[in-house]
Amino acid sequence: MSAVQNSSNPPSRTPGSPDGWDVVHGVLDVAGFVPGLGAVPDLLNAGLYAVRGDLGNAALSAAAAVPLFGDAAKGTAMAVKAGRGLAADAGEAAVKRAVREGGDDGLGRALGTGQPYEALVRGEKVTLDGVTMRSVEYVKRARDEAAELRKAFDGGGRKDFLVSLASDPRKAAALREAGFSPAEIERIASGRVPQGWQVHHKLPLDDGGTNDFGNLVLIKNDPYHIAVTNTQRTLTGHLEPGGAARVEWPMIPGFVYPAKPGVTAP
Amino acid sequence: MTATTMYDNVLSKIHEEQREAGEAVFAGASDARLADLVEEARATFGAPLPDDYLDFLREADGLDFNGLVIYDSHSSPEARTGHFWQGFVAANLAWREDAANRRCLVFGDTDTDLLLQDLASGEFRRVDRVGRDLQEVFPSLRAMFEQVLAERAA
Repeated sequence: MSAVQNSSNPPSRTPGSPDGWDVVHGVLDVAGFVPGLGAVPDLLNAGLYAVRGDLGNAALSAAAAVPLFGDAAKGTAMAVKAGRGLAADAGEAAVKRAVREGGDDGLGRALGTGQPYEALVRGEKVTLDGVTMRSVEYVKRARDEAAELRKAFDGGGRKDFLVSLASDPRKAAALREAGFSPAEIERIASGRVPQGWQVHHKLPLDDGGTNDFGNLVLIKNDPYHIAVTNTQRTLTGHLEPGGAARVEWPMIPGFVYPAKPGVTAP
Repeated sequence: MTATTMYDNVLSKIHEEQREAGEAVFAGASDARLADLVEEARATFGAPLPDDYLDFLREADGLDFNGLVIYDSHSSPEARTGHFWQGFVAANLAWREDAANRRCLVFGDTDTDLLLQDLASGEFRRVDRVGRDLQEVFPSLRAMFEQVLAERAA
């Protein structure tokens, strides 16, 4: 079995990679962790998100300006000790930072500098191009919260995400680059998942992830979604609700993976 | 209600939608094919296959619809059926890279769930695909399939 690599020289900007605003937000995210700058970068970030109409991330950045959340995003155990509820909220703030498309995880790593992602699929080692391991403070949320998020995802979150992809000209173009036919893109526009693909939570609902579009990616099912699921399960399967662990997490880039067709599966 | 008609309505609806959308629709597996699958599964995983699963495959040898995948009788990376290549044996071998999945048979999966039989208890369970937290226990595999098919077709 050959490694799954899309190693042709990537363009300067691949589908689903960050645009200029994402870079600005990412820089401000990182600046929010610099001692002495206090809440200024986070509040500036919140303002920029609000102006751009991204109220979800605006609220998140505003929350990150609160010292406790800042601590949590830096992965300290202090938030966990502060109580299960606070830990869950703080962990979610931390992981939300990690999944902003193409952005830094807010944990001291530079953009895209994580280790390449390798996984076993049917006994063979597979490297997934563009997927890097990021250090994440992983907090397993309460079961009732997870159930509510699952319900929201099945009740419309998945469909809304798919519709958003097809209705955004930039993202629709990226879908074409990923190899989707016009009929398949029409399928996506109707809110249906095309054959051979699934919608993956970059950070699972079972733990700190949400249904925010930035946490979702349309992923080719076999072998990629299976491989990522097995790795994630191995990393966090031991956790009980409220439990936390720092883990190296495989982060799928962008909103469609793989972003180019012709990647040879094992 | 017979085994065939229990799936008929929802499967017919799904297949009709898939044909209209230009997606692949798979006919039922032959008895000979199913006999081979039963033998391969027993040799590979040491477990028998539930009759409900074989009944489903007689109606549709695999399904890939709106993020729900029910594995077919024979596809593999080496022998694909169109672009559908999640055969029962190949998919279970992939899942078994995770030790927790070696105690079950997985018949299908969705964006968020695994649809499986726990081999120790014999229960048919829908579990979170990452955390493996139990979402629901069904009285039969047929009941589980019927529910997830209806959800995905909604």
